Amino acid sequence: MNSSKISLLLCVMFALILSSCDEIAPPYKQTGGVVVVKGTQKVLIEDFTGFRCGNCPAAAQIATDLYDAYKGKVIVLGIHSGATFASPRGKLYATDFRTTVGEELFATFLGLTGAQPNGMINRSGNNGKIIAPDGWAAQVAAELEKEAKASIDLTPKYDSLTQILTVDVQVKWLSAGGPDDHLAVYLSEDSVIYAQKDYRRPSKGLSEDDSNYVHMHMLRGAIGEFGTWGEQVASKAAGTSITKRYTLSFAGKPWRPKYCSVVGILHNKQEGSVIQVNDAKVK
Amino acid sequence: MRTFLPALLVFFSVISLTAQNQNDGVIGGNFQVDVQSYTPDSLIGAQNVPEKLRSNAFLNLNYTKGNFSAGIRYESYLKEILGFSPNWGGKEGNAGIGYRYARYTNDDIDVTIGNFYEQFGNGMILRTYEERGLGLDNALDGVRTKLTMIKGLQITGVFGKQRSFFTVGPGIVRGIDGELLLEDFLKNFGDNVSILPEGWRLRFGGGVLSKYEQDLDPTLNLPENVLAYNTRMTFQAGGFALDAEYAYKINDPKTTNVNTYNPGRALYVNGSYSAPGLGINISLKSLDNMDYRSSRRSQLTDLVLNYLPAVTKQYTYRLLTLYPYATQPNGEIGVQADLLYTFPKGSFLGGKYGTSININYARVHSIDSSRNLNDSNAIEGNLYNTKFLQFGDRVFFDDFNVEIQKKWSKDFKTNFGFMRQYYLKELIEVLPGTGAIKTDVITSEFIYSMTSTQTIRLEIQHMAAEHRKIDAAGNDLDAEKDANGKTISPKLDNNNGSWIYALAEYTIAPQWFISVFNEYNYGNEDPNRRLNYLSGNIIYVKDALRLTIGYGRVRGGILCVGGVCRPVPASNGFSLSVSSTF
Repeated sequence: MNSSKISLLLCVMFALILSSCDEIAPPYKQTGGVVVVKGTQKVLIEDFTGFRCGNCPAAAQIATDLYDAYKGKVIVLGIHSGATFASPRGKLYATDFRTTVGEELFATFLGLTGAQPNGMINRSGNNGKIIAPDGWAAQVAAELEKEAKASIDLTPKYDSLTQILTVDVQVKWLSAGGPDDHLAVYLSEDSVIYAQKDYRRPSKGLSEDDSNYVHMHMLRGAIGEFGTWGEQVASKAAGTSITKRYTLSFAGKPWRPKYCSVVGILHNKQEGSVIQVNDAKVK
Repeated sequence: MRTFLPALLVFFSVISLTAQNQNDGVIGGNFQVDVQSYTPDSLIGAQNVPEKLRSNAFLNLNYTKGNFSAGIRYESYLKEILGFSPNWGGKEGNAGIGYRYARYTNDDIDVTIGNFYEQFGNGMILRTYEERGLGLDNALDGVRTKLTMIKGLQITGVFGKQRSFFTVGPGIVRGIDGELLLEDFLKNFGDNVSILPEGWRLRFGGGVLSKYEQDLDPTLNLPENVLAYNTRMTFQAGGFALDAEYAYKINDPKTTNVNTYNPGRALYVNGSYSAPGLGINISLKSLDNMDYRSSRRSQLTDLVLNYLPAVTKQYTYRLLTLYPYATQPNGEIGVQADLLYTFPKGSFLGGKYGTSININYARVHSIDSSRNLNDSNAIEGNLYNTKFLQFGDRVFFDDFNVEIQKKWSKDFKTNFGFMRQYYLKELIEVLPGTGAIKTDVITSEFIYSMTSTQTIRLEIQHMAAEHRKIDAAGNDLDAEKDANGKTISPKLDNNNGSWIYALAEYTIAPQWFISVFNEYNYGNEDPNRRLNYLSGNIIYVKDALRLTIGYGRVRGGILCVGGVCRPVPASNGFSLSVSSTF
């Protein structure tokens, strides 16, 4: 190869790389509309949060934006957890919203380096399962692209006389299930009005303590006797389905059935990844 | 990649069986094993480590035959030593081949497939490297070609994905770089063609890099291809040298710049002069939005593509390393001047054996910008105004240091130093409310050679620290105290206040090094944390083998290499390290 040919080759390569450049003009934010996703895979956002965590409301907003953008495809759990941000302190932050389930998830996935806000998207990801809030959008999109391996149907019934919630859960495997598949069912509650630290407020001239913050998707606990990880439902063939019934008593609890949802999570316990998720309103 | 690895292993085992004579090529490499035990120590804030014992290990194997070479690096993190990213060991520990390559080189061309490290110029748009101390390895995995078919001109092209722990990141990196050495290049047109005086050298360079990453965000319009370029020159004439590089990056909204759509810019200029007994170095660096990564959502040292040269002095004395400056890629402007002078032997100050003095001054400011780094929501419309190359009001770091080294006799040497530093902790360590720290440090070192092989070295250091509250405008205020005189603002961490340090080291060259040192945090605000951090090390060296056994209580802190930093948690326990080359 002589030098003129080489120069030509280099010029071409140079031009090619220069052309791989996307300058974006305003507006930078995409507005309006719901993103339509073809498949039946749903995505669980587990938001490790705490009412004394000032950066957490901004993260909750990201979860809400995604919940709205992918209507019906995204399920959110606000997991009040950890001693640093979720333990009660003073009069304003007197109620303990932490749960046994939430603490177990926190200890298992966030572990020693538990910084908040942080979250999990279907408990999957390339670099560990814990993903910072601004990485949620990309991971949610990636998870939604996946082909669903199962479907979950939830039928909750709340008896106001006995204050007992009964949930019938039907899981149908669309492809063969693994030996370590587990079914966990949780209760969440919306519109809990309680104090929250919010570092976005001082720039608007407000106190950083918002005493009327609306907490959405708050994890309240597990339904049934199987706790955080749920019941093992091992190795089902494609096309088969199972139905399970779980109960939970609301007696003596502050939970308001009207604002509660049940969340069913089919997951691989060993890997820790979520296979499918669904939710249904209690009332 | 998965099938490639077993193939390489087989390849190596075959070679190792047959590589008995030179015709079959040469195998070389090195290994390092670090083991650390952990004892819970709530006083110093050491975490409870359930495994109690952790280890990092590395083995490099390289095979060379003629123009061909290949190599692997096996790494294990069982689990990673505390302070390394927990992504190394994951939940249950990790081990595997983190790096493998094959390479062919001749006079004209140099091709590498697999993993490689590459740097364009000073690295402001591309530098992939391994810095084991930081747990950083951002090698590219792909193809690299270097062409040197025209004398004086080298062209490098790269295509790859970037390493992220034991996987690769989501982005694709493409780049091309050219470097022209004028004197050599002109020789293509005849041996006597020259435009520069004898001994002058001029080098030009330029590179372009683009990374592709899919836009999966339904809320923002993100650029999928983000391009950056640099232009640079180096000039040398006698003892004088000038090195300048300018880099530019198009809009690159991401986690670390809070989704700003501003372009990025960086300028680095370094001038130096050296003559016998004298060295002067002056550098300037200005940065705006130059954090460049192959994935928008990576953080800390993960998937970083570029390196922004540091303009602050890197210290080795222990107390001088308590508050090291970390480069702020989102925006900073800094200057540094360094003078090294050796008084001639026999002169009044030089004495019989010579005296040298080193003076260093560095100062880093914010750049003049409408962006408020403490308020991520203040970026309106995802853009901000900035005046590149103009000093902003906030001082990030200010550091004056003088060191005098004197040899008093054939056997005795001393080294005295003084440092005065201002460190904006709340910004550098991203810990709002922790304010700034003003420190004065005195260091002294005494080295006495008893015999030709036995040496005693002593170090005594003292740090006087003052914690200051900083208001929103960056003004330095007095600390706020409560009725009991306890500081409530700024917030203080475990290592606050003044320190004193002493070290004694005994060397029996070339085999044994024994040292004991203690750090005493006598000025801590909390009387319960006025602790001694005692450590000891025994090092044994035989040929290429190096064995270190240590025990110590280690304070938590920050470790930086060239302005790139990681936090190191406090720990208490034994350490063992074995390394060798072969």
